[in-house]
Amino acid sequence: MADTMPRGFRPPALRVAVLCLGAAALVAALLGPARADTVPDFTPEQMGGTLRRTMTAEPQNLNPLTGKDIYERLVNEFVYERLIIRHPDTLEFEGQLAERWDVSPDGRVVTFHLRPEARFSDGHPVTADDVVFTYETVTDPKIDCRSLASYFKDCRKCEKIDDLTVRYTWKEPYFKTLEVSGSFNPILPKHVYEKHVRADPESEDPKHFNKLVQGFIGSGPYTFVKWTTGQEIVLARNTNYWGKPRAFDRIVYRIIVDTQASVQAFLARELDDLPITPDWWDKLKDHEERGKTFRMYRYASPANGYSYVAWNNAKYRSVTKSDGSEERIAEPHPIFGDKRVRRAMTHLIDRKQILKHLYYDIGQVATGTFWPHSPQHDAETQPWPYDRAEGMRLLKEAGWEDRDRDGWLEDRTGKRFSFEWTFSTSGGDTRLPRLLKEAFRRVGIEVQTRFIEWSVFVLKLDRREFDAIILGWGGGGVESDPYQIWHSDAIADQGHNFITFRNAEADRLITTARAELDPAKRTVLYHQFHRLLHEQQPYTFFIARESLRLVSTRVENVNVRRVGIDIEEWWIPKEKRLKQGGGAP
Amino acid sequence: MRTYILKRLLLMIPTLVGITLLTYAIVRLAPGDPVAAMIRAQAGDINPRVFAKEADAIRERLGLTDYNLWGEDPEHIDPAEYLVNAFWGYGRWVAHMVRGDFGESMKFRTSDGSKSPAALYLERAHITIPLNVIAEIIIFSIAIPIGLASARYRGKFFDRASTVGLLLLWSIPAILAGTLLIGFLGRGGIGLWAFPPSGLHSSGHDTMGRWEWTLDLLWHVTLPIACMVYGGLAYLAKLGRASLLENLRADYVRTARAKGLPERRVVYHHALRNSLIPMITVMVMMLPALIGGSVIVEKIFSIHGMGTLVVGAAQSRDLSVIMFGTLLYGTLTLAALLVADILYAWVDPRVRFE
Repeated sequence: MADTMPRGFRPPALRVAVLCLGAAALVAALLGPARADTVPDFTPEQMGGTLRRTMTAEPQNLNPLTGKDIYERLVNEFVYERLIIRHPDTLEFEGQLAERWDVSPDGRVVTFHLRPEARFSDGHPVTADDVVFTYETVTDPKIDCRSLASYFKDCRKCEKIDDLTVRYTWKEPYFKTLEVSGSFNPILPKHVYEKHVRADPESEDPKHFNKLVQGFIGSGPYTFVKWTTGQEIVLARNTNYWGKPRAFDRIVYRIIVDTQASVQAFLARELDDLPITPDWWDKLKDHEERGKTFRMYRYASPANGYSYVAWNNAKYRSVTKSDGSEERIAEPHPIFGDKRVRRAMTHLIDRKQILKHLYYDIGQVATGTFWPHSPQHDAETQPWPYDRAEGMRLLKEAGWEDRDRDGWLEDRTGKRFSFEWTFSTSGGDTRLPRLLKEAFRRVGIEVQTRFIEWSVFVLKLDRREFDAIILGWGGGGVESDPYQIWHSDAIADQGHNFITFRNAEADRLITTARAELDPAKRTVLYHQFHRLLHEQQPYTFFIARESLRLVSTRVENVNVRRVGIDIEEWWIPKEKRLKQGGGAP
Repeated sequence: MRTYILKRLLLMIPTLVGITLLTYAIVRLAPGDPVAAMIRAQAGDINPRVFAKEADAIRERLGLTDYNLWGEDPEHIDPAEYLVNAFWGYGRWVAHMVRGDFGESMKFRTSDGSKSPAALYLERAHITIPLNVIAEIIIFSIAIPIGLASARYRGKFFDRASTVGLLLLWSIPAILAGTLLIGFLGRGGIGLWAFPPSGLHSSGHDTMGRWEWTLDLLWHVTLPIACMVYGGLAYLAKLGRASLLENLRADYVRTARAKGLPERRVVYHHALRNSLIPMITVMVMMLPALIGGSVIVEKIFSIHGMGTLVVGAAQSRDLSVIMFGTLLYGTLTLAALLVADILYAWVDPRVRFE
């Protein structure tokens, strides 16, 4: 779901659609990181005070490599830095720890020149050794960070050229080599963590890197102070910071589980900003304090992602081979194997109405897999409209019509149009399943809804045993690579292509684009791919989400940039600072 | 008496085995793989191949590798083998438990990073027990006088009003009451009062003086405690009322009245004392509940207590935490039952154990 760890691209993540909506707001808080020329030169008067934020749950741990959740990223965003990051307005890469970089013409060799002035918070300079150490730790099979490591599986090596120069060499030309090499790894100090990585993971050694959960040292503008489980996490300004200092002395995250309570804490001015969900946006949009004590921001961010209905394009059959072993053979799905049926399903779902009534018109109807504000997105492609007649026509063409006048559609053999729609019980809102079931019943399609627990749900996905499901992908970043979800390589081995979408043209476009280093040519390929997905409708693309945020009027310099809102630009004037965060009156 | 206690203690063992075995079997035999689901949910990624190694490492740490039931699709495994594996897994848990090794949590950790279930429960006990003790004291000190007064003035206005009022309170679900309390009395709400809507401390509480700190804490616990108290009143008040009424009808009360004792003395000296006896059972049986904590109240007010730990563990099927909790609550409940029986015999000379 979240995309902060690597600032640009991260594996699109799977979440139940409704869950996503809640979390999507949070994600927005993560992305939108600047640290560029957009961070102002704060005057001494502007500096000081505490920024008070919240989290709905706790991070599992605060280890920048083994921590996996968005909460860990929310905190470590300020503690760690990367070699390069995207400029929040131009979306171009610019140096963070690296001063400049060179990419070989074929894109396989990326050389970074580090800033000589960069320091960790303990005063040690950031050197090529630290970069190589971080790379080696990430790719070390003994370290629990396989998901990050998977991005480096085509990376041949990362080597030190001199103290301030480091070189990544990749096996294949790939348009993301610069992004992955430079922006995926948070740079760790070798002199601090080397002994922890070397420690024996097998023995119950508490010093092993995997067991370190907090107190990490980085080169970012803030340092970790303390974490009281269930209560708060505190960061303080890094007094040794090598770059432009940020405005706040401290950043405090309070853990507030209940949404009502967090909104009230915000309205009581105990919090300075709060990501919210569409239903809260709707409730607060006419609040009398809006504009006086708080402002509301609604914006798009590459972390937003989208929700979708996935139609299983294949049905698997187990065959026992002559040697007794079992093999699963994919056959086209009897219903959704036909693209006409999939498109008809899209025509039969009134996405605009659902967006309006369930999501308070926040977000937009999605047409494809790319972030709508990315150059990859083909703006010409319009969503298929809600059109019952067209839907029924397509179904008739595919052989589905009410042959025996019983109100249900049948195929040529008389088999009823009936399928199972699987939902995860952790999805929360049950309005959507009921609404869709009823909508399809009215046109003669029988939907059997089935609710199962999340851990069983993912098992069904792995085994590809479902007809239709609703899920969401987290944002794939500014420029994402559709390979993991849409290429036929991702069908086997329980890859992300769990609907078994197999299309030779799509494979060709994905593979060609991956090796295409010219952004203009790549964009053309991705636009073609976008149109192909639209035509094929392997998913019914549902809603591309947006970020919603409340920010207190105490905070100055709140800007919405192309990647979202960056809190490192913020400051609070002296007269508006609180001595203490709201105690007993 | 001594043999009776010994017998009861010995009987606790098979009961506990039954409770833990059942819990273990339910957690382990349910389909799906919680280890993989957890890793994937956290990482926001679903490709199990990427995480297979990590999941294996976690299973190894949790001692689940030998008799792995998770991750296997129940439709593709022999049910007999499945059951046998569950029994072996349970045996392994018992063997470790006897040596004091309760394993580690896969989801939770304490402030200092410990994952041992005992440390997790202990950390939260510091929060849950004081809260519950205060709530129970308030419940007792309000409910019993109300109950006794309604018995004393049976059928009068006070009796009827309190019955209706308590019944109403009892019927309000905590989730609604909590939200209403925050909305009406919490800061940032309707604004009738300014109680803090969440947490137990203000930020910056670590720099406060002792008095300020205590006041701040009391200020924070007011709403959660109100939410814990209101529902418990009805039951106890009704119990007190019934008990006093029964005693007021008893022969010895009639005798007392007949010999011309003033009514006050009859009620407060004779009847009241005897009607408090059943309260002992209630009080002792509340001991395990003191540790239980209330999930709903904890969730609404963001309190880091034992209720959310138990439920969170059950939701993510965090085996070691669930098992430790089962053992803890099982033992406490059985012990409380025993203590209640002993106290009963001690207070009421008519009760004798064979």
